[in-house]
This record gives sequence, C-alpha cells and structure tokens, in this order.
Amino acid sequence: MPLNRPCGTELLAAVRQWVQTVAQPANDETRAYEARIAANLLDILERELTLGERFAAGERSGLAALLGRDGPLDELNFELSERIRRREIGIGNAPLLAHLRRSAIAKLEIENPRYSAYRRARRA
Amino acid sequence: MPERASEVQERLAAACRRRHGPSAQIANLKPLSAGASAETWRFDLERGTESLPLVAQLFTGEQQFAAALDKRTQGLVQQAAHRAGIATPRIDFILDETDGLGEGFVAAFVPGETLGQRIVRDDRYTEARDRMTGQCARLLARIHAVDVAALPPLPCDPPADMVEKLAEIHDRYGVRIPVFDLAFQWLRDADVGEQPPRLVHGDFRNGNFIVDESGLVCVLDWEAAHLGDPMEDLGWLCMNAWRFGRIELPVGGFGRRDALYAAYEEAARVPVDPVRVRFWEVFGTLKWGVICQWFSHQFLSGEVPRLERAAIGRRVAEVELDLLDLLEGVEPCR
Repeated sequence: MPLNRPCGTELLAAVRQWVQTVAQPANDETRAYEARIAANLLDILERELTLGERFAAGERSGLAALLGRDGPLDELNFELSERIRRREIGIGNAPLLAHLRRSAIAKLEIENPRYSAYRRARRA
Repeated sequence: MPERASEVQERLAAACRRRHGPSAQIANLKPLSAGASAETWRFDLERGTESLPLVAQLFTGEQQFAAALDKRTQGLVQQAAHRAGIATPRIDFILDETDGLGEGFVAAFVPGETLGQRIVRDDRYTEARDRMTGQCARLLARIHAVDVAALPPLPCDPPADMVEKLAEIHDRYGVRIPVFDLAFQWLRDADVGEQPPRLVHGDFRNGNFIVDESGLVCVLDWEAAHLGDPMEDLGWLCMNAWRFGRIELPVGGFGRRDALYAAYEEAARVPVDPVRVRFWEVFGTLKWGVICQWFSHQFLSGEVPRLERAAIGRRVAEVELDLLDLLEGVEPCR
C-alpha cells in the first residue's frame, strides 16, 4: 500500500499554515521576517516535490542533446562547464543559449516563479 | 535587557563620554537590522538638554565577502565623503581599541525609508521616484569627483583582475554553473581597458538609500568602496536584482537608463559609455550570483545557520536568467 496520509504535500501545507500563523508574532519584526522566509522555503520545497523530477529529466535530455552523449546529470553539467571554460562552445552557439535559457526558466519555476525576469521570459 | 544590549549600552556610553565629555549619556538603545557583516544599534546621545540621534555599526567578526573594507576604513571613507559634501550620514566618531567594541563607527541617524520594496511601490513615494534618477546621477557624479588624495588607502584593481578574483572565489565553492562560466568568458573577451581611478561607492543601489517623500536623502554602506571605473556604479545601480520587481525600470526600479545617463553626463561633464556600463552590469550581476553562492556555502557549512542564507542560496537561478538577458540583449543597453 502507499504511504499513509497526510501525504508529503499535505504535511507541507500544514507546516506552512503553522508557520504563517502561530510562528508569525505581530510584535517581533525580526521573528516575523524569519517566519516569512521559512514559509517561502516551504513553498520552494513544495514546488521541488512536484516539479523536481521533471526538471532533472528535462535538464539531462537537454544537456545530452547539446553534448551528443548521455550520462548522469552532474557529469553532463560538469562537462558543459568544462567545454565553456575551454572555449569549445560559447556565446555564438545558439543551441547553447537556448538550452541555458530553458534551463534557467525551468529552475525558476521551482525557485521563484514570481521573479520579474521569469515572468518576462514566460510572456516572450 | 539582554546581555549583549547591556554590554553595548555600557561600552557605547563610555565611548561617547570620551568624545562628547563626561556629561554625555546614551538613551533609547535598540538594535536595527542585523546586517550581513555588522550589527547596527540606534541610540540617542544626551547631553544636558541636547539629544543627538546616532547609529553605531559594529563588526561582528563574521567573515566578509572578498574585497569588503574593514569597518574602520569604511568609516574613514564615509567621513571623507561627507566632508567632501556627499549626501551620506556624518561620522560622529570611529571606534578604537580603548572602546572595547571591536571595529566600528558611530554615525548620525538619518530618518527615512530604506526598504527597496516600499520605495518602488508605495504611493507616498510617487513624487520621490520621479526625482530619484536625477538625484542618483548627481550624487554619483559628486562621489566620482572626490579627491582621491583625501581617502584612506583603498583597493584599486584593473577590471581584468577583478574578473579573475571573482572567478577564483566562484571556483572555491566547487559548484559548476555553466551560465556563470559563459559570463566569465564574456567578461574576459570584453575589452574595457583601464580608466583613471576614481572613488567608486561599490554598492550604490536601491536598498542602500535613505528616501523620503522628496526623494533621495543620502546613500549608506561604503563597505565595497574602492578606486576604479565610475561606470561600475552605474552598472550596479541598474541590476535587475535591485529593481524589486519593477523590471521595466532599470534604475533601481524607479527610473530609465537614458534619463540616468543624460543626468550623469550633465552633472559629471563626462560622457557615459553604455558599453562599459553593460560590462559592469554583467560583472555586478555575476558578483551578486557568487555572493548568493557564498551565502549558500555559509549556510551549508554551518558557519551562518540562518534561514535567510539558505533562501538566498536558492536565488542563483534568478542570476542565471538575469545574466542571459544581459548577454543576449533582452535587456537594452540604453
């Protein structure tokens, strides 16, 4: 049988609710600020739970297409970094720029979908 | 009163008596925001019927980023700038060993808004926002005209060395970010050459301003001051990270580039080179990205186990997209 409920996202929602109410004192600005950060981190975690696997798969296939070989994500990322450092691939390479842009946008969908540059990129 | 507060109270009072005479007392001591590398205390110095609102900035001993100035030098730069007529809080005194408070300084407290979020959005700052671009340009022109001989010794690296030093710090964290690699190569290929060194504020941006309804009151935080290319301050001012969501207004989320450049040219009587401003905007964005990595590292190593550090660590992706927007020209140069 599957794990018992509440499931991961339900637990996250419960903790977020607690952070936003109980842990958010009205008279302590520093503590309230930290509570907002904590709630924000839980939002990131929730999006990572739902989108993380899809992100990693997309990232890996994008890198594999660009590099012409498959492998673990970390290894492919390192190889792309090396190739840029060795100047084998660079700013004039349109598929490289397209990959990096797709990748940054996909990351921001998890990290911060309210970010101004992300919203502008999605409108484009 | 918590232990730290009573210690600060006692030692600050003694420090004030040394400079303002034996009748000086301090009142209303309270902590302001705990900054990245300093703690800030607000208090009133009272002598007879006089009351002088002051702020003490104390170095906490926490590790600082790369070329950040020590608190004493930072205080000396701010003092020299204030004496040269720059709108920045007057330095009342710089702490020394006798004070027993570590490195730091005491400056005039200037009331006003510092939160960038409110400055770019609140209705009460509508008129202020209209004025701030011109005010920033004129203030920058004055900073860049400060007599370098009046300043304490400051870092003075050619742009190419600044790029390599930043690359070295980035490499220390051992995390590969292809967009950063691409930006480093772009900076190496951009030949901006060396300029006659001028005083550069180094962190002139929305968030380090004190603002009221009439606009920019003064600039704070001289921690990143150095000698270099004045265009660096213009590039840093325009970074998307300091626009607080108002991406369509490159100057701090309140103004337009062409207005900034025109007002700067009029005040400084030197032309603005948009290519060099772009170089520094890319450099600044990358530097902010490496600072995000540094915060992440501080969190993960347990050095600074604050949630804020963890959150900023996840902001690297914002920097990646900002860099691509700059390198691909999605962000116009003018």
